[in-house]
Amino acid sequence: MRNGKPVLLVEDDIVDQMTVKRAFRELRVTNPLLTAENGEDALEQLAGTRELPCMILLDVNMPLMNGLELLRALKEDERLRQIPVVMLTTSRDERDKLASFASSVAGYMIKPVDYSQFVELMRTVALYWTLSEPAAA
Amino acid sequence: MAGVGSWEWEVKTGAMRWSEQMCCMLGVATSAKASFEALLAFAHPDDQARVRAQLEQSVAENRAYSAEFRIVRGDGAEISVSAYPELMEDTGGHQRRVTGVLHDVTGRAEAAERLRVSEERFQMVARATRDVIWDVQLRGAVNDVADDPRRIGDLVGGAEFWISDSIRGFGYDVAGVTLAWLLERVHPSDREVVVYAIHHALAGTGTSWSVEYRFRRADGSYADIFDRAHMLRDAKGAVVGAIGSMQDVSARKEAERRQESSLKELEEANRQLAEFAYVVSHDLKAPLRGISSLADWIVRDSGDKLDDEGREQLGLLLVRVRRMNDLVEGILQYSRVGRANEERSSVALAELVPQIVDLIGAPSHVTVEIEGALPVVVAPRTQIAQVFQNLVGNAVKFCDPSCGRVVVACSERGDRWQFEIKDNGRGIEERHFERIFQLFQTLGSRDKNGSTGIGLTIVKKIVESTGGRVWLESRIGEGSRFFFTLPKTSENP
Repeated sequence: MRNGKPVLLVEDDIVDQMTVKRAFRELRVTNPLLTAENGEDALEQLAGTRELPCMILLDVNMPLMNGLELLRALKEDERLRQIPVVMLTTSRDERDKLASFASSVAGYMIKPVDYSQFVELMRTVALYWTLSEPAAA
Repeated sequence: MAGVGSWEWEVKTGAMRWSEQMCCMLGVATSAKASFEALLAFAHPDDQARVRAQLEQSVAENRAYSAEFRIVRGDGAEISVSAYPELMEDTGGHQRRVTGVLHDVTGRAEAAERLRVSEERFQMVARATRDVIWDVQLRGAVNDVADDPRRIGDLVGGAEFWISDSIRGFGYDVAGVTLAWLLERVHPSDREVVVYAIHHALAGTGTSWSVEYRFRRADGSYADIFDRAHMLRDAKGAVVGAIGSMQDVSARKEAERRQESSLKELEEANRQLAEFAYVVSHDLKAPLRGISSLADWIVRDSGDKLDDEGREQLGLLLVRVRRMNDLVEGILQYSRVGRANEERSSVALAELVPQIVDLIGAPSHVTVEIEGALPVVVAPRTQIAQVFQNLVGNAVKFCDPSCGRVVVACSERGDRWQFEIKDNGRGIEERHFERIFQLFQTLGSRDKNGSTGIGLTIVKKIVESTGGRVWLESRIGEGSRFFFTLPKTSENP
């Protein structure tokens, strides 16, 4: 992604975290990958940093504060609402999808079970955010 | 045939003449000699004195009269007649002649008797049935009222009304029941419908009429009534009355309401299932994805360090992960579709069941045996797979912990196949036989045995929707035998 800013991954499953890290490495995405284990953790990290991430990859099903709750909190925050959020989830549930788009999500991706398919998915996401103008320089 | 006979009697001469029909009525030959005494002789012995006295009195008082009496015919048969003698004066003023007509009224008396019997029978019926029988005779200008439903009250007020004893069933006394009283006890919300139905009957031409309404019992509760009537119309087609019956259909209505609420409960259960499946899809698929990724990476990163056996095993692992994922998706789909619309196809169980056994991957101390041949059934494939997966899976999970033995078998039972999955586990108490098929019901701790309480519920749903039945036989210490049937034909149940 073009500006080299970090990407924040909010994900509680360690293997899923590893999957994204590995895919980034494989795709030669150089942006640093920060991880938060749940919504609350993510909000804390975002509150304590000067450099906001250029994108947030967000799982839906997490303990303490789930993805949808975090998404709503982000969109209500003047400072954070500009960050594009891409849901990265297992949930095919229509309600989750509708709720996400109702909260201005930038994308909704279903995690494939197969790792190589996951890499392809990440390739597309990374390519899109390389072509797309970032919200802030 | 007998009907009407006439006769003529000259009081002075005593001469008597009677018609041929008279002879017929009396049952004597036309040649028989007619005389007053002869005629009187035909009267029933018990009636003779009365008849003679009445006739003599009328001659003496010079006035017409009528009498009814019995006649014993020449052939011995008894008939009832009515006589209408007329006295005629000659010009001299006192020479008299009596002419008379004799009516055979035997039929009339019989009809009256028949009516009495019929009335008695009707009373019996009215008493025997729990329906409330009613009868209304209208008076007044029906046509006027028919034009204006609001004036039905006028009509009702002037009606002659009868109701059967069965009204007591609603806690009321028969005395004082009028049509207006009855209408007052119709539920206020239904009164308009009833009035409209009456109006409709008055304005229309039909003879059958029915309406449903709630009727207030004496204790204030309401009964559901199905009221059916036959309209009586005059020659011009105007309603002159009606006879009907109020049938108490409360029990049926209540059953309908109960059925409706069961349906709601069923829908609620389906909704719960869908909800559960949604959660399960997350909780099962996330670790599956992890296993899949890790296995994939081991092959990629350390493939060269593994021998052929190791690589093959990892390959098998990945295949199972994918299959498992499919099953989870299947559960999801099943719960989403709810009514299970998966198409039926020929399923060779001899191939499918070993695959499922393989997928379950029983631990080494458990043997799973397929006894005899398994048939080809026409059924929804993934659903049938799920049935075996759940039943065999349970058997493997709950069989003897040191030396488990699971047997899958099939036998032919008329137009259906009967399958059996037998384990040598600790068994299930009979009081739990129903519970275990209920949604989210488990017999042990979920943490301990990893049960979700959904497996057997799905089995039951699938088997029953396919037209089969599922049940179990079990005793503590003797293991469990789960049975289910599937129809041999592909026809819908």
